[in-house]
Amino acid sequence: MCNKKHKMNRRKFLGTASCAAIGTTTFFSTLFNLGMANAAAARTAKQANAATGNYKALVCILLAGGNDSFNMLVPTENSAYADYATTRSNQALAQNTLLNLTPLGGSAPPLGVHPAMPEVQQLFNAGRLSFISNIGTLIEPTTLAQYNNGAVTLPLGLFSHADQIQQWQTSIPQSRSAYGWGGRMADILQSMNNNQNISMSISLSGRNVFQSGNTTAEYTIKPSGTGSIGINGYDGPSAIDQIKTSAVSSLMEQQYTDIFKKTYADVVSNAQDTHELFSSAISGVNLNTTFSPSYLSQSMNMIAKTIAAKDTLDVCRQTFFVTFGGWDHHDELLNNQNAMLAVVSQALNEFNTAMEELGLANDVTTFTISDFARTLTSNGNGTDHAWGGNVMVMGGSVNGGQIFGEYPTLALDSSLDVGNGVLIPTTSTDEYFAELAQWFGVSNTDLQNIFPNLLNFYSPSTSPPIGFMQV
Amino acid sequence: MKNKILILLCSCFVCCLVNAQTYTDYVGAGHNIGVTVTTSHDQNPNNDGSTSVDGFPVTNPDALADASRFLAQATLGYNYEMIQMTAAMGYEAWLDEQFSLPRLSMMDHMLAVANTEPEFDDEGNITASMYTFRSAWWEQSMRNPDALRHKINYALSQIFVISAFGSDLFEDIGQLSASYYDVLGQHAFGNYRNLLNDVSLHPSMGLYLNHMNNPKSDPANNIHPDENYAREVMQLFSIGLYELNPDGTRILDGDDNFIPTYNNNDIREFAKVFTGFGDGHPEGAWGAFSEGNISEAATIPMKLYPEYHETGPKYLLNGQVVPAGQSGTQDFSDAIDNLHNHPNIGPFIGKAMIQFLISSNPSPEFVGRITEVFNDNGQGIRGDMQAVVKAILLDPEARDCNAINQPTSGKLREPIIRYTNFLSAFNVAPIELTFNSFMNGWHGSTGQIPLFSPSVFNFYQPEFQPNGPIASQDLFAPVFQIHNSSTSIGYINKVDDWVFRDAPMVFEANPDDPEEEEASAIVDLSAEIAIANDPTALVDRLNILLAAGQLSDNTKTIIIDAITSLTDPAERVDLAIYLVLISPDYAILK
Repeated sequence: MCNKKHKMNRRKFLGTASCAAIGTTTFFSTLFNLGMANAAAARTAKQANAATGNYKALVCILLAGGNDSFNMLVPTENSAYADYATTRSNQALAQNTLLNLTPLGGSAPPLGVHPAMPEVQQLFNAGRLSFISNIGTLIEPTTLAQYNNGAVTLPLGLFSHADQIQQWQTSIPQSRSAYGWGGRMADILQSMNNNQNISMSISLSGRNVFQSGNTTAEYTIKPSGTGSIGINGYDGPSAIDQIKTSAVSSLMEQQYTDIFKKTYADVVSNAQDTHELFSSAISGVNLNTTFSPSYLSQSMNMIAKTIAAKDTLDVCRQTFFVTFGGWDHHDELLNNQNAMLAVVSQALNEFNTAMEELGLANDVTTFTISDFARTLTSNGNGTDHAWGGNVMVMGGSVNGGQIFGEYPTLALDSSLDVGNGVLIPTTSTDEYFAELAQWFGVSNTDLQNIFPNLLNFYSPSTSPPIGFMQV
Repeated sequence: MKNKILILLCSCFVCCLVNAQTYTDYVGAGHNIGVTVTTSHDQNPNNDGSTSVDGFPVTNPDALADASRFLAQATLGYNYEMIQMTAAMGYEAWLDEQFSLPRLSMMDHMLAVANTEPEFDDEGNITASMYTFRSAWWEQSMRNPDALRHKINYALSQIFVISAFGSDLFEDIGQLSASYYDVLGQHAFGNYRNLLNDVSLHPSMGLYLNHMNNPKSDPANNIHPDENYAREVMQLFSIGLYELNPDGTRILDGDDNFIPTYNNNDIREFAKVFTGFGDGHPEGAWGAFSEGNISEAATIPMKLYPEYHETGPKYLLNGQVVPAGQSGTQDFSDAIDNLHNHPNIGPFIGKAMIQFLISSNPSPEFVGRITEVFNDNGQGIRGDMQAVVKAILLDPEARDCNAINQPTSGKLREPIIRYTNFLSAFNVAPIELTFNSFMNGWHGSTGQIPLFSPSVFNFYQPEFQPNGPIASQDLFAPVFQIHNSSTSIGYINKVDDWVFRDAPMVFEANPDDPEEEEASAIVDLSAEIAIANDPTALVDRLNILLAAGQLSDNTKTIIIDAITSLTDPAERVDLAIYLVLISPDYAILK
């Protein structure tokens, strides 16, 4: 009794949640009932995966604010560049500054990346990274005529940050869901991890929609130190530490019927428990790759360390989430993007180097999301909110060096232009995320539960929705 | 209903007019916390049980707990004397007194802080940075008697968001923050229309949401007006995304879909209105922002440069058309009127204010009552913020004690308000002449500093749903968006610093190094230490002072047991405060 280690109860966390959930099914959408039922199937897969040492991680980088991705990926061929330059006016990049891409396959037009992204150019040309072009939130395939005459259901709150940033994380643009597709995936797959005491979902940017599930939540860490923090003096040697620890633990372990108090206490309890596991695992990691001082690079460094600690943590599936904000470039687009894309490019390269150092490049896939792209036309010194845009996906299991989706014409009044160069996406977020989820180990049945609109774009089969991941 | 509640309250106690003396000086005047102090008030808290003239102090613990709850809703912080005073005055009288207090300028506070250890620019003017503003925020929050205005001022700063986050200009020029904060404070008890007008013309907003130096369209070059302010003024500052019923619920169309309040064409029309506004400084010029006089320009509303304003008609909401050929200032004024008269404003702003003051999930009836007051204050005036604030704080749903036991009522206290609660409760005083804290460490721990949110969407959004029982009941809990495994522990460790390290506030000599810090303020725990020999009495006092009487019996027992095993009175007090401040019963204000 004297040496009792104070452990907070992990009450509302995974694993055991299946029983609790059955009693409260009315609260959950159909989506989650189906998801929960499939958790058992995933458990079967767990042993097989554990036996083969199969580890997989997805790293989601949110470029919050709406990256102007038609200045990230730009046509280099003369006539296409001329369209770009005319449309973008004073926000166009000079043709001779673009860094040429050498596609390894596919039929994309000649494209270059922003001059601040030489690392991305190299990653692409080396087959480590691909782009998916003109992708965005959609409920069903949408043409300009359908957009104009209301013949299709459009995403809620198009062009609004709050809505679009949420929908890029939920992939359910017809509703305001609190649950993201990473969280919905974790609800099903968390049981694959031998260690059920640490969330499959690790965030460098606090609470987020992407990792918010019904029975799972993110565990938030920081880029510095050992990532996690614990309560000062918790279980410390002094008498007052012991008294304090016992009282704190009692306060947080009370059975609160109040939903706010319960949520508050659960977060604290989980945080303290996970910290003890997490910090000792991270402190044993030795990683040689050097990361830049930017917050994004430092976050990627901590993600790399966490991945390096996977065996100590005893996990085989993890998602990571990090936000790099400040992309809402209504003003000073050219200067700001020049600085910020460089940060992204460096961070991606450093992370790729770290994964290669760990021998895990094939097991970790990194992908970017953003609220939306921006108007192709200028507002004088920047650009405004638009819709379809370009994203990056990186890793050893990516079919690298390719442009997936359809790179659109950038001439105004095209068949995709709803005005001011706001382009209707030709690839849906569902296709993008479903392919990542398939690679991560989600069954085709579960895919439809996680992405309720998926069948509007893709019939689940052995061939993936887009083809950017190696099967 | 309001009257009834007040009568009930007053019937328990002697209601009397308070002959209040209000201190209006603020820097270095030797007053701890500038609360209203009455001539008849026995200021020695150890004599709570004694009788005194005029019925002070109130000693009934239920009445004190109730007053503490009211003050937790209505202020950023308060001490034991304020609780006693408010309990005796009654809430409506307290509110009326608050409305009558003069406003003290954040700019003056900031210059006072800047003057204590002045730094000069090339022209010999004293400079103030974002960090000076933060110290001034403590001056404003901890010293002034107009506690209600500070609370509303702070709430408004989370609706009409600007932020120094990631901006070198805002970091260097503290006036951009202070002047803007003053505009919010100036209209806190004024009219919403004037608030929206002045926010929209403030250079800080013009810089933050880019409608400063926003030129008219240039079709030949595919250049259109910047849409940022046009969008956010509608989405966040006035009407929101969907048509609302007066009770704040969304209107549904025939297919049960929400009805958008505006579309992208409407945004383009409003964007035309917000063209041609630039630096308002007499020496200012289009296309720049008074580089020579920037700290002065930061305080002057933007002015119109007519040649850069979009001519032609503008199609506003609800069929209103601004005719071609009007002046740009008339266009602007018409657009503000168009928004101000939109039926969404009452429920949108009313519900937002309720969420900041009372509850994350107010009933539609509560929102409806506030909308009524917003639409007409009883004298035919729309947008009277003073009437709205009063109606919210005196609403039956805010005052009803039964809400304390309802599992879905109330809200998570904001981290920074937990902090101001603590400092005020124990009469914090700066070690030097003025408060001095850059708050970088606090920001790293909790993510919340005034005027420093990561985006125009504030630190959290009104419809955030943390997973677990809140989301599964489809309820909202905005502040939980910044309560995660890092910030929840970060806050607990800050409380640890306040009490166990005697560092209730720290000054970071080097803003880039949060570790390099020293205590810059002290709190007064003498009243608590004096009763620490009686753990139950100590916890009872803290329950009223900090937790609005909302600690459960179990929680009290846990804390009493813990401190009873210590013998040193100061240690008992430290541990008791620590445990109260981190307890779920305190963190959630019912």
